[in-house]
Amino acid sequence: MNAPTTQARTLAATRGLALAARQLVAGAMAGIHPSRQPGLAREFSQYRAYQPGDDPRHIDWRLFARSDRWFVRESEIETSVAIRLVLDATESMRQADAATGVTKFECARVLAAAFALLAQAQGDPVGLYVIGGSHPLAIAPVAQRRPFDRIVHALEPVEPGGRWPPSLPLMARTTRELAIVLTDGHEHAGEIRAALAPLQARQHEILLVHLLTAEEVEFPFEGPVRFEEWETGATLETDAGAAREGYLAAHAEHLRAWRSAWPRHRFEFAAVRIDEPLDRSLRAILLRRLRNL
Amino acid sequence: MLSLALPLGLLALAALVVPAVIHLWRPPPQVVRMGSLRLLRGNARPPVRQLRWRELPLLALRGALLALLAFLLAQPLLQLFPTPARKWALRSPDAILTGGAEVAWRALLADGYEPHWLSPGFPSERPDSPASDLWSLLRELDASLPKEAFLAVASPATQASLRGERPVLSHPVRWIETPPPAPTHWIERFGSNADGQTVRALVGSSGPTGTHYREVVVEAQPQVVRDPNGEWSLEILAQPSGISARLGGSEAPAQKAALAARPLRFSIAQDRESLADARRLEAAFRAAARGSGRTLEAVERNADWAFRLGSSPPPDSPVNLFEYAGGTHSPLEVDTSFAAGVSLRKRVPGLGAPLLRDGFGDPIVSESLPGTPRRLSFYSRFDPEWNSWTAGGALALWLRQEIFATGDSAMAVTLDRRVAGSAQARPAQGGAALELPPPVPPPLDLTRVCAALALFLFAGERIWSHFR
Repeated sequence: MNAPTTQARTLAATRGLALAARQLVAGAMAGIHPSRQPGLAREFSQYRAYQPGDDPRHIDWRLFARSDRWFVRESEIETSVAIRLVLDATESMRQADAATGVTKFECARVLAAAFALLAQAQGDPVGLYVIGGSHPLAIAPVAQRRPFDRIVHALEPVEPGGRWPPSLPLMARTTRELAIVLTDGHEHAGEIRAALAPLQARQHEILLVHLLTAEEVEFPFEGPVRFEEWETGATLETDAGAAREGYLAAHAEHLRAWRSAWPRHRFEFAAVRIDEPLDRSLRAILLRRLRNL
Repeated sequence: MLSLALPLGLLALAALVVPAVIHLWRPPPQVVRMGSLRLLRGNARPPVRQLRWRELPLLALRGALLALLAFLLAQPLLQLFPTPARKWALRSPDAILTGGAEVAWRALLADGYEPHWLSPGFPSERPDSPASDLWSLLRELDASLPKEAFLAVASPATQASLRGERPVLSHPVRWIETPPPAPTHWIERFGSNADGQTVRALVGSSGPTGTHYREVVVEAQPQVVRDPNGEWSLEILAQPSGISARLGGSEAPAQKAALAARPLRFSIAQDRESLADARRLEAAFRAAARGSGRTLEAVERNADWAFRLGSSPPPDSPVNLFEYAGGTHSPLEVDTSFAAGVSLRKRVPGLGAPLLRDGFGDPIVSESLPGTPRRLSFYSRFDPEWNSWTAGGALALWLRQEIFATGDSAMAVTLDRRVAGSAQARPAQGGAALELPPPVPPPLDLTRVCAALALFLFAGERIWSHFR
């Protein structure tokens, strides 16, 4: 069965964030990460001969009684990765797609809820950090029974606003963590990179989802245009047709700089156009992660 | 040579403002909000709000279309050959076009000559004034016309209109001599003899051969006296107002002269200061009466005209009065030539209607109580120190006009019907005989060509505007 594509228009019409996230995840067959790896746990996997250095507590004494040989009991253990959702809720996230009117923030919020739902399905702890906006949040990724509901409840009242704080490093935890950053990538003095730097230093994985509008990618403007910056209100009037070529080159360089911000084995960059179906974009992200692992 | 039949049509060129405004006008810029201007700053061009032409080729096409339409309104004409010279046909007011003169005149008009009257202003309609100094008029026209002009004049060769030095004109003149006007007769003078029983009339006659006078002395009773040659008849009339004479004849206009029964009496009253003024006035007054048919008689009382100079007592009976105005005099601090020769005048309120003014428009002589008797006020004196008017002959001429009313120079000119000699009857024109210019083909009308070109440009503009 083909998953229904979630157009941005449909997303805008969907009132409930949880419903939109469930609709989005319905087509995503892969999880965020492989959740099982061999090890010691209650779920039996195999026996192997005892070797010096093994913990004597792992010896199966019943088998020893029957066979008079020492065997160590092995099983697949549950490995959980803490998912840290970092949502950019600065003023610039109000940027909307010209055709549908859906903003970057609305897309980012649905994607965050979808990732939370996927994490819940995998039993991973999920945390949420909202940077800027009307309700700055910092919910640490702790194991909870239904983290999705809490995440959605926290996301619903958030409205974008303000700027990314110039000095707000995200505190890294010692446990293994995947930070999913949903942002438009606009920074004034490298504040987003600075905030993510501690995570990178702790060998945590970062998935940066860069949200783009069609206008940013194609720059279809002609003639005299006055551009206004969302966060500062600064204006720039120019002949858009004449500035297109230079802008597109600068934009490509901007994306390339983000893509190569950190070593590739711990950093993944995904550009998402908000005028394209979000479920398709989400599936593409997840499949690419599976291929890379 | 390109010319315009309606140059005012070029005013439509003002419509060129329309495409200019269209190509200068810019809509307000589109406003786009962006997450960051950082990517634009390095590539943005300077603001484009300043005036700048857009789509210059289309603007040029539209401007050319409008200019062509304006040109079309002006009705362009293309003269492939040199512009024909302007040709003037001038007719003297007393020219009678008959016979060969009429044929020649019609030929001129058929050849494109513009008919004008040889009169001040060179009007197209017949003027009221009779023929005057034609030589002066021709000199004036000759100086004002362009070099490529031709003149033709139809005029009788009368001495009265061809007075003075024969002019040398720069333009060729074709001269059409019209028949001389008919002889004229007039009563030059009419008065009573000393015996009181007879009257004397001096009848003037002027014709092509000359002007002569014939004196007639007859009894002062109604009768008709005929000229021995039958040219005129003089009728003596006895009317309640007095004896008068009327001149009639087959060609002469009727003229009537009243008999001057007695000399005109005048008196001059002066004080000690104005003795010299009185002498100058009497000399001018007698000069004015000369040739008027009136004799003068200086009297003390009951004068027809009383001149009151200075502070002399007023006359005791109502007569025509010419007096110095009262008040003090004041010098004019201006160039006397500019002030029409008046250097001193009296500053008093003017009385009645001004008859004579100085260079500033202030009255020198004014008349109050119009009618009979007349009363004239003089704001200066008959003194050369006060004005130059009384020193020359201007005062006598003015007195003749105001008091004797016989100095009609135009009448005298009209009455003179003598024919000018052959040396005077043509302007000196360098001996060049008039050669009529060759016929010139009419100019080519470019209106249709412009209209076709305008249609072509309009179609091009529409196509360009549609597919741009």
